[in-house]
Amino acid sequence: MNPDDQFLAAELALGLLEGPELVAARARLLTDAEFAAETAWWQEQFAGLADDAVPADPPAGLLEGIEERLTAPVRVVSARRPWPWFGGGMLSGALAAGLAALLLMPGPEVIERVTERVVEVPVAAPPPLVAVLAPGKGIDRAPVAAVYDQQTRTLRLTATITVPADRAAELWRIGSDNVPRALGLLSPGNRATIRIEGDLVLQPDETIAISIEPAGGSPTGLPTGEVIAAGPLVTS
Amino acid sequence: MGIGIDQPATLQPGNPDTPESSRRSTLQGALIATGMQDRQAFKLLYQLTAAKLFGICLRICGERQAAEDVLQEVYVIIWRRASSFDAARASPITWMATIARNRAIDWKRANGRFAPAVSGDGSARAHDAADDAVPADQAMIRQQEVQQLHDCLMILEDKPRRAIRAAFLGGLTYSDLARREGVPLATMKSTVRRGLLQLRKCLNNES
Repeated sequence: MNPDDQFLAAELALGLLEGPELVAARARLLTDAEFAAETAWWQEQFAGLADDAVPADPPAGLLEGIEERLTAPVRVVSARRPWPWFGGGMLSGALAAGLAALLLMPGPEVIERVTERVVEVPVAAPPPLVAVLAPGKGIDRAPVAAVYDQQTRTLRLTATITVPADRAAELWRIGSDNVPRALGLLSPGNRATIRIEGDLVLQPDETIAISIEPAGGSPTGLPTGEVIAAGPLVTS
Repeated sequence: MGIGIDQPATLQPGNPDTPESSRRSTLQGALIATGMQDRQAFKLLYQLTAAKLFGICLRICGERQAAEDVLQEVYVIIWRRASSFDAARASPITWMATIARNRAIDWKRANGRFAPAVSGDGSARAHDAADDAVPADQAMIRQQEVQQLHDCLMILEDKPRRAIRAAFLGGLTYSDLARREGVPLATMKSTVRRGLLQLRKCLNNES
């Protein structure tokens, strides 16, 4: 492994990267086992640094709040508990509004314009998260938008991914633990929507990626085919 | 290991006679039992670790309300994932601290503009300085591998060491660090990379 890649793995493990660099590095975890191992090695090394945070007593009663949430189903928890820092009319990049435009005329200039628009929206429930999944270098595909509904835990693509008949498009998520996890398959019968099962709850800033896999999905738990697009989830 | 509601007396935290190794195995037992959906064990786990994990959340989020909310999320995640804890791969506290850090960083990245710790004021530096003074007793009870990391960090120059610690403990990115120190991004990158190169060699016992 060359020194630049070793640096990149350490930077990813430390959380130094952001923006396109972060997305590119996380997407690489999906296809480059050596890079993924180097990143995991650094993460293990750095984990001990958490020892240095000065302990602080949480307020009394917090445990009761936690226990209450253990008994509630995941879906109800997120619906019932809109996070307080979203309140008071949060500023919101109107990405969702711009997604339609993206589908009509995909191109980097559209993405630029969309991220600049800011509007005030009243918040009653957790807002959907959106991602623009841009094709990797040298891949001739249009960007695709994905919308994640935090209440129903469904991830919807706003365009169909075309794949050969014997293949399927598989969705992946990589969070700040830098461990890729499969989200589900976009098969011919299920072209655009995936319901996220189990304990996985998608968060802002996670990276979403699409790879092309055998019809039944990746047999290894990691992508085996080309990663065609990746992008970060952001609050809409 | 007798973790369960039938033997709560042996599991109380804060027993002055308990040496560190036994504390660690108590923690491990509590985490494993939590993985079997044992609520009593989960409570004990919370009592033993909440201050530590709250310290991490507070450090990264930079505000109390957010840190409390994140801490709640963290323990819900720990409850759900405890069954996947692998004692052979990580110590219980490192496993939990990693969840707390990742979750706090997720929050910070999604809400960065509200978090005062990102800004270039002096308070973040003051916090770093406080964190650098690790109590001697804590240093003594560290596991070997954690101690090696700290020993290796000590041989770095001041600037890269501070940057690496602030990135990990404070959730600061390259651009946050560059802004805070008032240096160009490229300068910050080469400072950190110099430190990472040295750190990698030291951790692999190459120098």
